[in-house]
Amino acid sequence: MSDARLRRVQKEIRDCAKDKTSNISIDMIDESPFHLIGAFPGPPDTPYEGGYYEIDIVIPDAYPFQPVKMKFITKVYHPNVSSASGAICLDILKDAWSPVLTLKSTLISLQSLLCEPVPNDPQDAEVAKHYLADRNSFNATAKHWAQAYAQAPAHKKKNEAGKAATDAELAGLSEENVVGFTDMGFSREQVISILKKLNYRGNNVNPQSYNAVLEELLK
Amino acid sequence: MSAQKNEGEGQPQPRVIDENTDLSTLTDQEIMKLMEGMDHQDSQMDKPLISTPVPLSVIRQEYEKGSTQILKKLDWLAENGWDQIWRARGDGDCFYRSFTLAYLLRILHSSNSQLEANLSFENIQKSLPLMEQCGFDKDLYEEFLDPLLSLIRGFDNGDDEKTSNEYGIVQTLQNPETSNCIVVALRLITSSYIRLHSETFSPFLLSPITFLPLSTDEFCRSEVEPCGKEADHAQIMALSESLNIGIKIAYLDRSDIGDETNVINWVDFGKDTTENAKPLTLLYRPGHYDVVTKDVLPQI
Repeated sequence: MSDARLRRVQKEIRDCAKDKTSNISIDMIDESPFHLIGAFPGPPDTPYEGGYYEIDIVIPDAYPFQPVKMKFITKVYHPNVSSASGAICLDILKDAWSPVLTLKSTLISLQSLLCEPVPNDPQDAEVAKHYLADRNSFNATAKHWAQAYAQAPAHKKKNEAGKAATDAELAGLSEENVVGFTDMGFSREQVISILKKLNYRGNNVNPQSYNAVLEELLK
Repeated sequence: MSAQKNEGEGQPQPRVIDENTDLSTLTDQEIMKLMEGMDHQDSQMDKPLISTPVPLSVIRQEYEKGSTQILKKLDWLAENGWDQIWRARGDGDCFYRSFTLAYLLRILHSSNSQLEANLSFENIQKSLPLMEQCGFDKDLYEEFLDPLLSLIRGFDNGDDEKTSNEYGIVQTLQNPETSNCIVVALRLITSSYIRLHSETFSPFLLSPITFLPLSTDEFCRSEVEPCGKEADHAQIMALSESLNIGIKIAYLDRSDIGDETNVINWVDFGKDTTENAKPLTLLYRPGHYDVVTKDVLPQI
């Protein structure tokens, strides 16, 4: 029974290796063809451009009748990917999986997911809130993450060229807002975690949410 | 599911829905809940993919305390010789599994099995270019089609154990690898046909959850190609037309009782569903398909 599964996976790995145009790679981790690592470059004209993303791939026993299991190994800042675990929210990895999809076509779908987030069906609610509240700030954070975790080259045009992103930048928060609260004596770590949780960005920076942050800090 | 229960706490208790519930009184929410439940019924997973026939009276027992309309329809089926039910597992692929069994039984019981097998083989072959036109990977669909085609070729040899009698066919279709491959093959045939006859089908392509229209591509990707997605009229019509085979489905629901010659509501799909054309006959109960047949003596 698993004979057909083995044949199919081996063929998929071979076909992907032969195809030089797609920039998608699938490699074995050890002897087993049922636990693989896929990888692709971040799509151009997105905050992920220049990054290199690795995906953990597990082939279930009932493959291809059941969907392949995939999650990001590389940390990525995206509404449909958990920033903690790399878990992915994408219909074809769940109930819209069809046996005519392949490892390569699924990895290509992940690549397109990076181009077109679906914030209404999020995996990471905090990141989705950030995406909807302030797109520029979201893009900057996603780019910082690409530089910090996905080896994307640092942006030269920025003032702090080549400098590693700060903890505030990685959380998509402005340094000014963070300092505003740390100056009151709260720890930086605590401030960043609460500002992140309350989505204290863009239009959300107002007296009302300022008070909400203070309330949280004083709890 | 538990989250949904909690939401309802402030409101009147959700009523218990069983076979005695008048289906016409179901709210959209209740229907959605029932449909969701069907996907997760683990108990279904222990049942065979398709089973040897049980007498219709077994089904009748399940409805004994139920509506008189359903009992009348079951009695009419029995009186008219429809006395065998071949159950399919309720995993969302039941239409395709029932179709496969009925399709192979039809060849087996034909007065000239070899001829019928050849015709069926040709009809399936005709769908190959459609799949290619839709951009499906040739290596993949050929692999999914192979088990069905080789079973049909078996009738030609005549001495293939897998297709020499009803038992052999059921046993072959109980193998998950074989059965799942055939389900996928039928889904691809259905999908290609809908995709290439988009104008005809597009008015009927609705999401079964929201009842909103879907594009042909969305419908095929979300409701036809994935395993476990139930077939509705559009899919059945497409498969029947694509393989040029009539299908008659007996609706065992609370719809009105027809005239005395046809107490049960049969819905016909395909060009020819007259008795001579030997259409496939299925039994539909809301959310589920099985095969219904008249007990036929084996061909000698």
